[in-house]
Amino acid sequence: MLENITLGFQHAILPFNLLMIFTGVCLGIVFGVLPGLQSASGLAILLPITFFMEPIPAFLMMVALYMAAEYGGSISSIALGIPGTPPAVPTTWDGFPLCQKGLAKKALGVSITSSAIGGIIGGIILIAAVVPLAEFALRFGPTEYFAVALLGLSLVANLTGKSAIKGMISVLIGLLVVVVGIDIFTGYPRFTFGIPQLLEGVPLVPAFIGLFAISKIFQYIEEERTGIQKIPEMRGSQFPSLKEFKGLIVTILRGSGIGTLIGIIPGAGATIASLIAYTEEKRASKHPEKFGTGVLEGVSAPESANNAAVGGALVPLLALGIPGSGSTAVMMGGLMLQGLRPGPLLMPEHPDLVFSILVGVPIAALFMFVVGTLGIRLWVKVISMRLPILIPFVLGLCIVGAYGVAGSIFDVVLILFFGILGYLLEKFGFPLAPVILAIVLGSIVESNFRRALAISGGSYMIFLTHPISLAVIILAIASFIIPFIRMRRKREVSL
Amino acid sequence: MSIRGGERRHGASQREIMRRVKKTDVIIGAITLGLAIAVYIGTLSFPTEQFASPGVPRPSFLPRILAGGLGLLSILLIISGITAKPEASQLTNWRQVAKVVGVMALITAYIIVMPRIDFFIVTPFLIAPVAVIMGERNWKWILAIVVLFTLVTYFAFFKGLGVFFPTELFY
Repeated sequence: MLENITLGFQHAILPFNLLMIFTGVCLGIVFGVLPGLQSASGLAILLPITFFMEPIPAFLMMVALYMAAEYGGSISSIALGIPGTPPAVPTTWDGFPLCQKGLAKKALGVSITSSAIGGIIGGIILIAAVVPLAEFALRFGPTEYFAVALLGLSLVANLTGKSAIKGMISVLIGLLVVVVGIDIFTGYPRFTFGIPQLLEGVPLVPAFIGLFAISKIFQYIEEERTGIQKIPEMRGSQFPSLKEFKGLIVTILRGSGIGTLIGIIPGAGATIASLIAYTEEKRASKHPEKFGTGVLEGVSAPESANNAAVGGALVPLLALGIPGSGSTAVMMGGLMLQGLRPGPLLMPEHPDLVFSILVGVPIAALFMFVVGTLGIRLWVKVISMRLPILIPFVLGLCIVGAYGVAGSIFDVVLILFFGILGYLLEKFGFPLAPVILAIVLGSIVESNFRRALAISGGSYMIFLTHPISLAVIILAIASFIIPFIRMRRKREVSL
Repeated sequence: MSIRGGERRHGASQREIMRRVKKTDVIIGAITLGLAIAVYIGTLSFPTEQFASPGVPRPSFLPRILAGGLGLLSILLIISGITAKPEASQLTNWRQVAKVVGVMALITAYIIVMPRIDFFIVTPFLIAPVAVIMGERNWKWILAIVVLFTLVTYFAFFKGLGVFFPTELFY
């Protein structure tokens, strides 16, 4: 293991790879700062570009973007009171009041410090957890993979969005996308409508770009955002004093632990991690009544959690080939685009790539700290970027990216289709993360389900006689049913 | 637009706004139910012979499960739309929606025209109108972004990454 970590480190610190980490951090902060755009949007736009790169620098850039976007979201949370990304929502509750008190710079300093430490802790736990988990997963067969993928789908359906019904419909829509194409077991084309480009299924890159980037562009156009905002004054010290920092150590450690653990759960992600971290910090505080009025702990807890969740979300992706969040689902698409096979065999087959990513997470967190600190005035200015100029540029890049991978105008048609689909889904309250995760997990669910039945000769008992798959399937069924029980109880209480 | 007793506001009463919110879930539920039925009907043409290994579900297996699940959830959504307590919501600003539809139409026209002419000629005619639709009126900024985009695409993608864009008019 130590040899592999050294190998990963040697790759990660090559000058070009460090440049890619720096680029990813800068792009990530920009995507995080602009409300509505987030890490998944940035990764989707970057995805076709990584197709032309070697895997290691490509993934280091993606990891850096993911990490930095989680911090970037806190900048507009604190400066404007508008969360830049969903995981930055709890940061708004104390970050914006701090800004209103004239302490914007201090709040941003606490945010970057907590984010960097959270990212490093998440990275360390990632390194410690992924190797034993991947080795354990080598014992997984089709039943276990089916069960874990099903659990991921059930969790993402229920944990994202306000309505469990709409979350589940989003999952089913994503699974319907997966069904399109030639059935791998029988060779029969399903729902291709005679279009040759759909025979191999819906390509991932246009689906991701459409759902995560084009739909956001449509939202920006509808909301008539110009982006020209009044920027708060950056006064005073940026960093917490030594006394303030000592008071935040426990908060940061608690938030980082919560973030990493929640991030590991497929489908949970940084948004839930930051919410739980904030709630727990408030519960543990001696002065819970002060939360919401502008306390440093209210910024530190969610920020350390949402960056620690980056490392956490990479654990199931690298060990099992199951994405932990929407952003890691896009990264999984990147692995497949490079011709790599996500799963426990990725590590023995490509140790240089996997360990570069593992080592790259804490390095990206350090870069984020330096870039975020030194460029604080610049990043805050990004909030007032001229959106009517930026957004058409991003639209053009999306078209170029979608076209560039396969040289097919049909992929541009698909980004428009998925862009309209994503825009309408969000408009009517359907979350997008379940759609993306279902597109990625759907083929794992179906192929392993049918493979398991081929092994058992059609007997469904195979899922019940394997203890891991049985336990996980029970968890998945419970997570499907619990929201309906809660809905029914709420209705009884209101009556 | 008259104001009477404080109830009429912006051309619609609060009751009408709330009724609209309830109706949306019902309409969406009906659409997804229609999708579920369409998917099921689509599977009727799938082969029924067992030509895969014994025990392996047929190609129609997963689509039908999805159609059934989607149908059930659609009915639940319709019921929840009918029985849910109305929530206050904003009226749709159709002018804003028209902007989005306009951009969708622009992109559609772009997809049809671009492969027949040339990427570098046609794409600025997409970027510039989108900037105008979003409210940019300073022609210098619009020209700057069109030039910047063309340069970035040409040097980074065409020359740098070897992506060949359609140049039908000149080929």
